[in-house]
Amino acid sequence: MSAPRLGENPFAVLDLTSDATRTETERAAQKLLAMLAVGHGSVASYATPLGPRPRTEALVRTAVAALRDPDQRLLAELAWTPPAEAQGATAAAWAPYADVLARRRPCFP
Amino acid sequence: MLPVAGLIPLLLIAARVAGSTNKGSGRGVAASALRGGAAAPTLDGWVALVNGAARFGLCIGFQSTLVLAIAGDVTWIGVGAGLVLGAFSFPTPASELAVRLGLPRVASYFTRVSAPWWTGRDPAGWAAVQAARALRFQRRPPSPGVLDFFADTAAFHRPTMSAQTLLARGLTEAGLGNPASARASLHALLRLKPMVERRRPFAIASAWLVADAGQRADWNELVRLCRDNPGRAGDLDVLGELVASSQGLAVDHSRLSRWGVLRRPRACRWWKQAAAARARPAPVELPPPPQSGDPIADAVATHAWLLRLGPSRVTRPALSLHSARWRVAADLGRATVGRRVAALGSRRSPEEVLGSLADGFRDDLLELLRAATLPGGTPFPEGSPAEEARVRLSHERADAFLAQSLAFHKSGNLPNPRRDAWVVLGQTLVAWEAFAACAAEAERPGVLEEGGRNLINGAADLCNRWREAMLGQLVFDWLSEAFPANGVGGELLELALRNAGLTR
Repeated sequence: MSAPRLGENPFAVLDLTSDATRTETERAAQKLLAMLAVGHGSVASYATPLGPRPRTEALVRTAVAALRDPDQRLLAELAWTPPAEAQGATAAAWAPYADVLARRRPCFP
Repeated sequence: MLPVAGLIPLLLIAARVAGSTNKGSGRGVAASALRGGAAAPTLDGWVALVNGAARFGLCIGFQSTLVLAIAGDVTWIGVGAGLVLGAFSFPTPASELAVRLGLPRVASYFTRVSAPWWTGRDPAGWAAVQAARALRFQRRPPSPGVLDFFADTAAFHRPTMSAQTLLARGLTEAGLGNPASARASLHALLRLKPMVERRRPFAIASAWLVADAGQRADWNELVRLCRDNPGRAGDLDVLGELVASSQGLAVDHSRLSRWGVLRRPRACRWWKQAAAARARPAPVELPPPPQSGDPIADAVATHAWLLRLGPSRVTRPALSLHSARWRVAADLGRATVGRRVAALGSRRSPEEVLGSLADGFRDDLLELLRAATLPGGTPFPEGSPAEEARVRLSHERADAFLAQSLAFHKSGNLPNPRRDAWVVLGQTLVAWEAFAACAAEAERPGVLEEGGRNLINGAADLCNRWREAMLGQLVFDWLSEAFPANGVGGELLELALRNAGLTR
């Protein structure tokens, strides 16, 4: 058995931290499954350290099942890290050339 | 004035005769592929007619201007000189026009009759290149007739293949929708660099490979190709640095100046289009996570940071930091894991749990390293996930290289060895470089000796059976440099050097 991939950590799928109790995981899973069933847009994706990922009912069920198993829960706890902050665009890297690139034609040959 | 209209039927007859005599010559385009129908004049004939009529008209114009000049108007001499120049260079723009119209056969013919200053010593090779370029401009998939034309093209059946033929081979594969074969052929061509003086084939091949890398969003490869730039195309210099700058890679400012950007609007336009279509915003700066005091949390956070960097920005120091933090976690994290094991009632030992965590890290890193381009060098600390991923990747690439070299050894038995051996060779050299880039110094000689022997045997077979002297020379020259650079010497190096001397 190997550790869950960072993008598929059960705690991330359920929007929980690694110290969540068994009751909290069950409640979170039920709530997410209900919201997914009615097509609530706010739960369509979840945050991971590698960026947002789409959330499906199957993924939620697998996550809650993994957290019921002590071995898998231990690995999920160890491999959990908070989601990354959204990163900015490359505006700074382009800044020196922005005015040049905005020009359609060079003003001299 | 000469009766121009009266001469056209004569030209038509001459063209038809030319078309019929071309049938069995075995040189140039196969007549069977060019024939439009039983009663219709051949395409060769029509092209000869247009070419002849254009040249004839321009020469008549020259004669008229000469008469006017003799009569006293000196300015007509310039016009006459222009017409003569036009008469001799006419097929070149006609060939370019045929390329743009997507007419491979016409483009090929006009190139063969073009002036030697444009085609050099290899008009048949350039004819094949122009025909292959024309494929790209065809709106519909190529018809069986066009495919026959490429199969019969004389340039692919000569005793030796030139740089132009290899370029045509690659572009044809691209035009027929086989980008992997095209990539392999063009990579093989770029390795011919020291042996061919003309830059144009390399410039075209580099431009295609750069565009291909851009379409695949493989920015590392794109920047590498632009910096290598064997055709010395100015656009690629600027483009490579623009891409490096936007992707957060190290920028060579000697190549990217404001003046350079202004002079190369085409590169900027291309990159802006590619960026709008493909590029995703990348983080400007992503510093490694600070240490929090929990060694396992630090190792996991560093792992997440490394994966966020992605294949284009992962570096050896970043992987070394990952290994160092993992080592601390493996040494000091046992107690923490032991406590959690007891609390959760797990039956596994802390060592087993940490091993499972390391396996997950290794799989993530293996995926990352497969896509990354890291320079080879010293291995990472023994037992770290980064080192395990590197060793696995090295084994994967060694297997791929050996299989590829074996395919090259047997390429003399392929249905069309002169054509297909180049593709296999390109794939083998790419596999060699991929293996050498990730293998540690001690791991290289054994694998490269075995694969190198296959390369030598394959090249010798192609030289002896199929008279592919140029391919043989490329392989032996390349091996003469690559063997010592990778610690391979002795009998194999001597063999490569001796064969390199024999093929010159």
